[in-house]
Amino acid sequence: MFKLASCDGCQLTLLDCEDELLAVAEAVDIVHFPEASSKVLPDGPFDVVLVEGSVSTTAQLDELRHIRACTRVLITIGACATTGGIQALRNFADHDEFVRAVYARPDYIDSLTTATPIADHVGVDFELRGCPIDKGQLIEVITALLVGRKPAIPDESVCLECKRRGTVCVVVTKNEACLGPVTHAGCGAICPAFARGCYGCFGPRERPNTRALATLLKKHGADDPEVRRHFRLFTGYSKEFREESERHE
Amino acid sequence: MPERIAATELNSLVSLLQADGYRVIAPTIRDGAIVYDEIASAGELPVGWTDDQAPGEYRLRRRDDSAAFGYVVGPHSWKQFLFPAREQLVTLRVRDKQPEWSAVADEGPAYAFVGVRGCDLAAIEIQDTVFTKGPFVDGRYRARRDRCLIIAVNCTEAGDLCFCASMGTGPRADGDYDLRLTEVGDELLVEAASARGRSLMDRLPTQAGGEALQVQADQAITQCGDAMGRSLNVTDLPAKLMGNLEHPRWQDVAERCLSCGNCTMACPTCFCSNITDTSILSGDETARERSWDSCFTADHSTIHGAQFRPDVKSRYQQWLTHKLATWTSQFGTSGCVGCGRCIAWCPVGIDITEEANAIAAGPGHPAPLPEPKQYEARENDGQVPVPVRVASVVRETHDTVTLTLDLPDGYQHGHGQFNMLSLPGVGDVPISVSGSNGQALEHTLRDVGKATGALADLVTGDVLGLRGPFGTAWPIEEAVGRSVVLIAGGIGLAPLRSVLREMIARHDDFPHLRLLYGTRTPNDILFSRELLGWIQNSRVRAHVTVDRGDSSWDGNIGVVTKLIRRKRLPKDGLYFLCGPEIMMHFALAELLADDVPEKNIYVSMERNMKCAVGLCGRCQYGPHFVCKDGPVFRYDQISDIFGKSGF
Amino acid sequence: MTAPGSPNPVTVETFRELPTFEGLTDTQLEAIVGLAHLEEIDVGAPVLSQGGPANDMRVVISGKCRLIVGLAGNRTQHLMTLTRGEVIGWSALLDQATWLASATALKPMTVLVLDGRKLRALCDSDHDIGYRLMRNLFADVAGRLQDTRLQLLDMYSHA
Repeated sequence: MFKLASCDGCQLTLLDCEDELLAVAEAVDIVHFPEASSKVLPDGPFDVVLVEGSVSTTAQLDELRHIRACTRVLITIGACATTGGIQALRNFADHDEFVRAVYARPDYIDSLTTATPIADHVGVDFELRGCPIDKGQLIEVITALLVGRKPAIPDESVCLECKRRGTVCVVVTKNEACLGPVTHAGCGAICPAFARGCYGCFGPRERPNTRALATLLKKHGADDPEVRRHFRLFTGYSKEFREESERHE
Repeated sequence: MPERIAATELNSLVSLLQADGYRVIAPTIRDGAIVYDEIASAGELPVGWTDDQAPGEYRLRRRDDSAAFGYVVGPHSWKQFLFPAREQLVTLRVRDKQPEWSAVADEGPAYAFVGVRGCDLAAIEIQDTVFTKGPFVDGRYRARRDRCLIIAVNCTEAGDLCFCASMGTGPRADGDYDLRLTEVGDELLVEAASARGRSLMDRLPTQAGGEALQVQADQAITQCGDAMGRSLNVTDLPAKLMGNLEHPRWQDVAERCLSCGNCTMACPTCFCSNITDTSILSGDETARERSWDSCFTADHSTIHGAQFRPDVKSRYQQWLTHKLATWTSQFGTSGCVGCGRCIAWCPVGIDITEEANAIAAGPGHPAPLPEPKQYEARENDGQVPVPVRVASVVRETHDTVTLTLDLPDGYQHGHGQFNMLSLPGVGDVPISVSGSNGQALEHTLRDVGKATGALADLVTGDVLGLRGPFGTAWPIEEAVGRSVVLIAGGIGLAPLRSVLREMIARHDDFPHLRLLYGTRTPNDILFSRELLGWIQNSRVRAHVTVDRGDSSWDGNIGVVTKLIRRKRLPKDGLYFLCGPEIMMHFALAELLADDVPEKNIYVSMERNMKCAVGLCGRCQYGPHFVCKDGPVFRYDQISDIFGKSGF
Repeated sequence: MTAPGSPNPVTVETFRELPTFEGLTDTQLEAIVGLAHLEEIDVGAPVLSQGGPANDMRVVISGKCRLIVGLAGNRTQHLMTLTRGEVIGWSALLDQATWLASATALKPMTVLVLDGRKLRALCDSDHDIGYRLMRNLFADVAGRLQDTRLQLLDMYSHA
């Protein structure tokens, strides 16, 4: 387990797998886990590496390239690693201005002007989505890897999870702005179950019709800046959401 | 005789049902909508509420009376109780490396559904057909259905999205109910249609004199039927839709459609499901789970990593044509009951009546669909694998192996049928039977993915699960005395091998037998020793060709269609084709150009088979299910859709 | 007119059931007999050689050969096998100087050899013969093109 620019929330998901954690520990030999232990970074090689976080500094890029070179299966976990995450919002803005506005000593800051997903830099064997990732899906990926099969991570809309759990649609009953129809399932449709629209934490699903969703948001009263903000959240730098947001510049 | 009861007495009905041991499910208000959920008393009914519905919009509103059933249908349907969104089908326990599969018994409660409208009663009957009319019967569904008591309600007010009158399913709730209510003013007309219903009626505080109320009720129902918010022109609708698959409206709707799948989830008849084996990281027990799936997902139409419905247009087309057209061939009725849910709960408000009416009015020539098929219902639901031992593994080529399995007790199959082979934690893979004798069963499979790869890695003595046999067989008896030509491509030789063996053995029945076999390279030739035997055997004329030869190969080089062209094949012969679809496409073109009648050609098809028992909906192929109507089809049954995109 | 060593002379009967000559009348075939002869080819012997002068068009009467293209570095690509009725060396009907592929006999062969220059001249002077012959050859070439497409599709790579 490695981390780049991230909040550690996805690593915590593995620690959260209380019941299954022992079985995981039995099945694999965990050699590096920053959130769980302060053991120093081993050199590799590794059979499997889970990477959390996006590439935000040149040092992270060097580390990532090193990890890839000595890893057989590289799995990226979470919105940061798969789409750039919340910090990728700076890709739409002036990086230097941000640094000057936020830090007392901007000269101490050595970061890239963009925060980018791992797959922009090195080959990735599997992407597990979410902000944070879902623990059931994490266990599924690890299990599938051990058995040698394809992980059963359905690439479908959040709507299907909503309907399976019997949640009443917040778009139809309340005109809520909801990214569910274009978002990859996996969270179990948590937000709509609490009467909120989906924020798109799991990023775009396959063939998302973002144009049709933007049309709907506008029909429900959103103007261009609002439509842009809806698409530019946790996974706003993903290709499909980015392109849709740019259509509303 | 109908009787009458005061609306205020509805709670005595709820109490009676509870006393009889039922969990009472009824309309009730939650999250701004009228949902179906368990109620403790009639006080939880949406008394004095109604729903305003429009495409993509649903709002509750207070009525100015205290009607108990003064609304239409909401986001839920009764299918969530009879066909739950998630359920375990089979458990697997591994003891000393021996897997053991067992069916999960259904021990759920008995439900009493209160307030089932005409459209929903029809929807339940449609799902009854899907799950219980064979060939395989879903035991869990049937058990839940048998326990379930239905209290129907006739509609006296139509919603803006209702079109049950067009579909012939309402507003009167006709069909398989126990008790039926019609709300008239502050009274309810009560009718019983079953022993359970009459027993309830006997115990309810009803009054005689229902006849007068009946007149009022009938009038209100008739008026409701005339006041439908939507209508669908159902005259010859299946043929018209199938004849307008090129209509530009499909692309138009695809641009609006989110392909989110909400319509399929809200639909009370949609039955597609996915089947997954849950993780077995901890412990040695795992479960096979079924969950609602949608034809709008990529996985629904994926085989060998390729999607045969890759875009929104083809997925919407599948949904609409299945619902309104091919369903008729599959199950004998339309798949739509006119409830309007898919219109209300589509976030962008796509209106099935508007789309279907527009497309059916297109210029395409009506394309009639096959008559509905009848199946014989079996007791076994076919979903529980039995453990079988691997007797031997023979590597045929660099990527293909033949697994010989001990023959399970009582197992019998037809040539061309397939089995589902199951590995713990990996899942099921459909594999055709490539040969058998009294003791053993052969499956030849190509290592193309992780699941087939895991099967290919098995060794003698390993135990795996087997379900089957499934599907149709090659029509051997029809071929007796006729010229028979087997045309195989690649791994497609496997399902033809068992039929060829039988035909060679019965030489007197099949005196004119040919095999044309094409494959990629000499190294990809299957069953090479046996094939050599066939080539040398005077009872069969066998010809082999490879797409790419090398200097070590003295045989034919060229595609299999070239063999067809070269061999002067009999027009009145029977042709059995098996291979990749693209190969069969070109082979068929050669045969048809040679005036071989469509009905003389049989092809073996492949689709996304998951449950293999006709219940999950994934292997749909136009009006057919490949798992139960195929894989072997007479070509004229599928010639309208063969090779067409979206099927 | 027969080639040395060939026992059977070419007659109108030689052309029967060869798709290339389908639809031609006996009178028309007589005209072609004059510019054709038969050759016997042993197993392993060349039917034609890549780079050689494309003087004659051949039609397989019996036996089998394979068509090979030589590539750089002594590598070869085996394109297809040809049997009775199939044409080898249609280049001879074009104004083309050399063979673009080689063919080697896999089984003892009898091949009908037609003088390319004379056949072209005959087609030019008698358009009825030319049309029929070209039409038949076009069907053959179209079939080959189709087959090549299928080979390119690599039909067996997936399922």
